Amino acid sequence: MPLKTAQGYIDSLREKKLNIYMFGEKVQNFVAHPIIRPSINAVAMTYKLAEEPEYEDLMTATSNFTGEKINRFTHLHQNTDDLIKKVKMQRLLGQKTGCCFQRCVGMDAFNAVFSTTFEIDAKYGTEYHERFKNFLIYVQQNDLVVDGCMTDARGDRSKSPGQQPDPDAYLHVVEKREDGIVIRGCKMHQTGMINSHEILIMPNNSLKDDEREWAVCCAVPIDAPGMIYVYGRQSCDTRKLDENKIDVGNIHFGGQEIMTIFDNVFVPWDRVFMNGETDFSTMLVERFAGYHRQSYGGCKVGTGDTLIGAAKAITDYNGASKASHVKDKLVEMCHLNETLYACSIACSAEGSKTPSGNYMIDLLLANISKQNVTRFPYEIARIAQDLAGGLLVTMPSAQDFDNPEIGPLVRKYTQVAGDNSSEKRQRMLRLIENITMGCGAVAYLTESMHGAGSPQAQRIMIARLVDLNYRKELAERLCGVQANTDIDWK
Amino acid sequence: MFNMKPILLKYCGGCNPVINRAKVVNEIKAGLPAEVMLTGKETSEKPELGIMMCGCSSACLDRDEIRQLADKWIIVSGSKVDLFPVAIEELPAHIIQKIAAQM
Repeated sequence: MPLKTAQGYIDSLREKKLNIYMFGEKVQNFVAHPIIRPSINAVAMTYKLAEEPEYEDLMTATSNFTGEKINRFTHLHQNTDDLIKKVKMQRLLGQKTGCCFQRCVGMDAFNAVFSTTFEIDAKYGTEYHERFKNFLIYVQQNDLVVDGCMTDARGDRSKSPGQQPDPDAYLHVVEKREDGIVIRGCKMHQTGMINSHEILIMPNNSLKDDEREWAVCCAVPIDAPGMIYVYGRQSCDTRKLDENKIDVGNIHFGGQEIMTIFDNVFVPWDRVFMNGETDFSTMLVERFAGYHRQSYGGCKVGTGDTLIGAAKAITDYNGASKASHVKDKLVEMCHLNETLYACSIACSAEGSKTPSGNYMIDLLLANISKQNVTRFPYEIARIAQDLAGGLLVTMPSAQDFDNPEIGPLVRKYTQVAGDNSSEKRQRMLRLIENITMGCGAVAYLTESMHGAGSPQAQRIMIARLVDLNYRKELAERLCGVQANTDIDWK
Repeated sequence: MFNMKPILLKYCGGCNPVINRAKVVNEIKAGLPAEVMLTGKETSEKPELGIMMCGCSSACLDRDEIRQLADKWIIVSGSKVDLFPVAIEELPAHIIQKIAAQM
């Protein structure tokens, strides 16, 4: 049965020899590194829950290729029920980790590449789809994590890839050989990159006819020669080096963002899934973005659940939970969070079959979902900070609580209601801090803003997908600008 | 090119269409020979071909009990025909071609 255990996953990373840099130095044992390990733990949860009977209905699926039980993160959506279960799985994982668990981007890339390669082959008689199918079966059989990789460095934003002074601003093919291609460039903001086994590279945007070298989709192993990884700094990241972990907030889990440099990386032909078909780059980008915009109404909602829980807890600890405005603020947080969820469930329920056989979300509703995600988590975070009180940002460090001379005084003056200890309050405030302004805010806030496309990208799609003239006609018939003679209404 | 058997036409409920379904159907009718009939009526004789005219990509009409009403179907779902995207203004001509190919 092709399901790895959580421990098996972590052990599989130990075998990788990667070129990782952090704080200007090369990282030797990245699996044991205290700043990196929480992000590995978050991915490990996607394996852990798949092992447990009480979660397997969401966490696993049946492969349409082999009929075997596989992790849902390696699955092609076979119907709208699969699309809905994906969102529910993401919410569950957000609840269990309180952060980005990093495996969605690969799943979204699989589903986009699968259907797009089918349509490329239908037009050009190429064999990309069969190659990709073989790659995906390999991924399913080995229960791998795959980083879906899209955003380029992009240089001068006013110029397209072919107009850039440095052609490497967008990842491109620099050499074609008999046995494959060589690619060069840099993909930015790669969530969970070094926690992955494979990288699935896609073009960044629409391309012109003469920009064929940038129209490339392919897969490379994480430890391919020429790969360089630079670990992104996050707010409060060095707190993870503390011996006392209370100030970290989210003790075991976290996210990871990597600047990923492809320095002349060779890709054999059987791993090339698009090579010059510029007319399909828009389709691939839109489908990937659509799936990924759906994802955010699952994962961010799960993290939102933990933040709502933290806000509820801190008001209980503070003895403020009976105040009507506190109750109302918690209701508002729930309202916003469930609205995000509702949109992603809706875009899944309204999904449709692609010519290749897998299912695609409703693009308009997925873009609406993500547009809400660019806003609501900020409001939920604002309310959480409101309920947390100022101590959220003025509280002494964990070391001060532990200090034999001042520790008792610090605890005395941070004492809370009833039999709640000052440490409970300390831990809960640090969790709220983590999610709303620390390491966790990378995923919960800024990733909500820019991940899967910045707000304007969704607004462009919404403008394209909504038929305003149809709506205008509805209004005109109601007020008599257009006659409504369906029956004699008088 | 065309045989003269009636083509069964079924519409979705039309809650939030991205195409004007009735307009597309009218243009199809105008482009077909006069003898070819599009009908919404089910008869005792099962038609060879049917058209599902769905206003959006969710194609909610595409259900088993509808599929059983004809041998073959052309499924219009918003700006897609049989799952492949087609420009809205080209829908009638594209569907007429499909009808010709299948009858």
